[in-house]
Amino acid sequence: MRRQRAIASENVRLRLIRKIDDFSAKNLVKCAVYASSIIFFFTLILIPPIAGILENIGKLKTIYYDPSLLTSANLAIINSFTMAFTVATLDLIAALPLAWFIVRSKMKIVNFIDVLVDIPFLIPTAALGYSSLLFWSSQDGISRIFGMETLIPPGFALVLLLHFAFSYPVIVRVMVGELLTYREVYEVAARTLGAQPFTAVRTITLPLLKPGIIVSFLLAFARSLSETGATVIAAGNFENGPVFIFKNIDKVGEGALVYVSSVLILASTIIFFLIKLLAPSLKFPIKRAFPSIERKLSSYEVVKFRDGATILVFLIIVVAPSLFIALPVLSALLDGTVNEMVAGSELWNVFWRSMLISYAVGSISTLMNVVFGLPAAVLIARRKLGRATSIFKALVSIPIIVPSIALGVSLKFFWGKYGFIPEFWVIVFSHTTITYTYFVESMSAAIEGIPVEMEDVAGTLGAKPFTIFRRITLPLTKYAVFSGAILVFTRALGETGAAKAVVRTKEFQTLPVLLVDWIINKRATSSQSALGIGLYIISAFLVLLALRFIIRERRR
Amino acid sequence: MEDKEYLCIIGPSGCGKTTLIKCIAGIIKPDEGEIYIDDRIVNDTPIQDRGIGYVFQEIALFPHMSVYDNICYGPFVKGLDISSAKNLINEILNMLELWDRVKDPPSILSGGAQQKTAVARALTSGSRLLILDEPLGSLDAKVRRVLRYELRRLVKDLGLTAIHVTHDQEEAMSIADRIVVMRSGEIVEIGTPLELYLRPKNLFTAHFVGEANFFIGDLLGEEDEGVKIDVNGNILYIPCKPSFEGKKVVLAIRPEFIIMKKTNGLKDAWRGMIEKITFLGSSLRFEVCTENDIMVIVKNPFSSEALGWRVGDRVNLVLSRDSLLLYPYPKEGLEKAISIE
Repeated sequence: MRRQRAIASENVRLRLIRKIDDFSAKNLVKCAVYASSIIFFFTLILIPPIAGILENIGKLKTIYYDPSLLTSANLAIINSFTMAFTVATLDLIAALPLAWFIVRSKMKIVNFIDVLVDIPFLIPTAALGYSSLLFWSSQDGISRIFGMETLIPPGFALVLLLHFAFSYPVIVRVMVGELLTYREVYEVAARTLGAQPFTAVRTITLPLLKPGIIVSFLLAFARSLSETGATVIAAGNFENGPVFIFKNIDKVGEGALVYVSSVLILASTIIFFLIKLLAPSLKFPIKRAFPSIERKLSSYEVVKFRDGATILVFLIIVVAPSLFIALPVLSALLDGTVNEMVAGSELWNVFWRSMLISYAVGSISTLMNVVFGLPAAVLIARRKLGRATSIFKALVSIPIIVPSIALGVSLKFFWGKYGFIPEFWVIVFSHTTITYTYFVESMSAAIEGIPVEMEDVAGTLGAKPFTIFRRITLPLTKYAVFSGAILVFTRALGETGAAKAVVRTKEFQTLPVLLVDWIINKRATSSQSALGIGLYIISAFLVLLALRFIIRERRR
Repeated sequence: MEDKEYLCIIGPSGCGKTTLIKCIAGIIKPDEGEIYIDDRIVNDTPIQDRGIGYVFQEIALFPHMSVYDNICYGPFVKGLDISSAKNLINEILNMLELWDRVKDPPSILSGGAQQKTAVARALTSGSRLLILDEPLGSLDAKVRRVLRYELRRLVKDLGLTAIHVTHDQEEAMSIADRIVVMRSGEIVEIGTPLELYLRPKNLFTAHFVGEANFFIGDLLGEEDEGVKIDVNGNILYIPCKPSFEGKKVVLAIRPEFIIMKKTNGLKDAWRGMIEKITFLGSSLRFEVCTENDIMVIVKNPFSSEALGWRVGDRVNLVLSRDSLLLYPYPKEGLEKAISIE
């Protein structure tokens, strides 16, 4: 009886698949799926921020009535780009040797270093900002070693160190990937021709790795430009674009916000595309060789010194400030703050509510991006839009380029018009917008990696589109789907700028916004802040661990 | 190796040919042993200071440089004045007829032109020792045939010493002064192409270089200047005395040294029937099964007589005594001894 029932249900399943298969083979259905993803992109991702700014562009002139505000706004914008450029350049100089060390060194310590690189990725940036603040600026941090009250006070230098730390892994990860796929035979060929190792790297390897170097530079640049929560914590009197908006969002008129946001959006888009366009034609200095100097630079002692210095910089400027938060969290666990949290108070009730909102927002925006981003990724990877594919791809990359708080301001204006949309959904939409690119770009890269012939072969064997997707494309990209989803989820969970910009009532504050508010407005004691940050990190870590476990199981 | 010698290394895939030359070039550090170049141990000398021109199997032309820049790379990184190296560069460009491609990026060159550029690049570095790792492996058969003679001519004209790794025996035979046969990480035999073909000292060489028939036999005893051997009931006389102990032996003979006739009553002939005929272009290959169940490969040059044979024809095989090679039966068995796995 049970067997018959199982057979019957299997028959129903197969009939359903066949029906969906037949349905998916219809051109109209295919068009509808792709059209819905394009409509989703334009209506929810691209048009809202552009329309939000354009509709309010008239308010821009009001800032000219306040020259001092205009001066500080301009300074903040310049600071944003100066900081991003400086950070990306310094990161490139410091992180490239570490990527090199990870790929080329045969030392056992490599595996350990490789794991440590991901730490700034795992810690939400707001938490990283607080950790850096405590490490560099508090009496309990590194200042104690130097017998000083504050080694590096909040301000430009601290923001620089902070941005350096969280952008560093981006460059290491991209460059490790590039170096792993790089054909080392070119470098060996150069050496057989008499080139010193340094010369071979300078004249052959680095020019060939140029695309990867440009991509990693741009990612570090964008990450620094966009970061808000941690920057606000570490900024002191220093102001860049995101800090200016964050601090003034409830204080100044909309004109200043429109001004800073529109300039940031426009300038970052232009700079991003200019770098992308012009950087490939940049030439490395390979027209001259300096055999005796380069022989010295290739010597065992110099290489050991370089590796040592690279690891030292990594440990002191990236790892130590990131992990330093563990100490105050530990002390908060021991000084009775935990009991106070367990007993419950208004402060902790707000904390738990914010955590719930953050996870709900992260989950829903991830789901939306997976459902509507997947067809868009297929459109890009398989160039289904013909020549327009490149334009579509460029448009998709915009949300990653633009500082998220600037995007948040324009979204605030756009969704503000539709008062009937609940605030929670406005927050979800804004998080969907800022994370969309991460999913679509990672997915399209994964689909591009599957030879189109595999899908064609399945087609020639009689498989219909739905079956091809279900049996060929999806199994081969399942890991990428989960990885992309994790990327979107963690990004949404850690987002401060856009969340701060769109939130109207305190009830809907996300966790990073709440924690930044606790720290900079001193609404909580340092123990409470540390515990809050600790719980934030632990919960994020546990969710990540669970997701990774699911991926691993599925992979098996 | 002798100075100005053209040495080819052959052997089955994975036998260690490339590993050996990479050790010589300094790309791989050997676990043990010493490498001498010009009577000097170079084990600790880095790649760039060994003075070896290396042509890679993957060609590995620098994609971001023009053909000319690729060729000038050696003198450039050594800090030499390009104008002083110009004579050599021009000479090599002339010899390899690359003048009209100097401004091109490597990606638009044909396989042959890319390989010529790689050779030119290795030569302009001023090295006296040239190592070529399957340099013609990725080229069409025709281009390969032309280029291999060009390579030898170039090496000889410039008075260089060359080590050339290939899996193509014909290529090795046609250009090498001497050939090294390798198997499972060891050198099995070294000799001139003729020595290795006509009088291989090793069973594996006899099998690997060219084609050979192998018969297991028993020594029956000495007779005059030679020995009598029983191969599955067929008695063979070999005009040489074995230099080894033991009664069980292996006989080897190249297919082209077996005469195939219709005429009956020939002395010491093996009777059999043709089972398969393969057309090889300049010759025909026959698989003949003898009356006592021995499979014999015979190769006849292309001729009207050879074309006259048909599958199923009864034939008489005469094995040329002088071409028969005698080996002791290997301890590991014949199959294992000649296996290329």
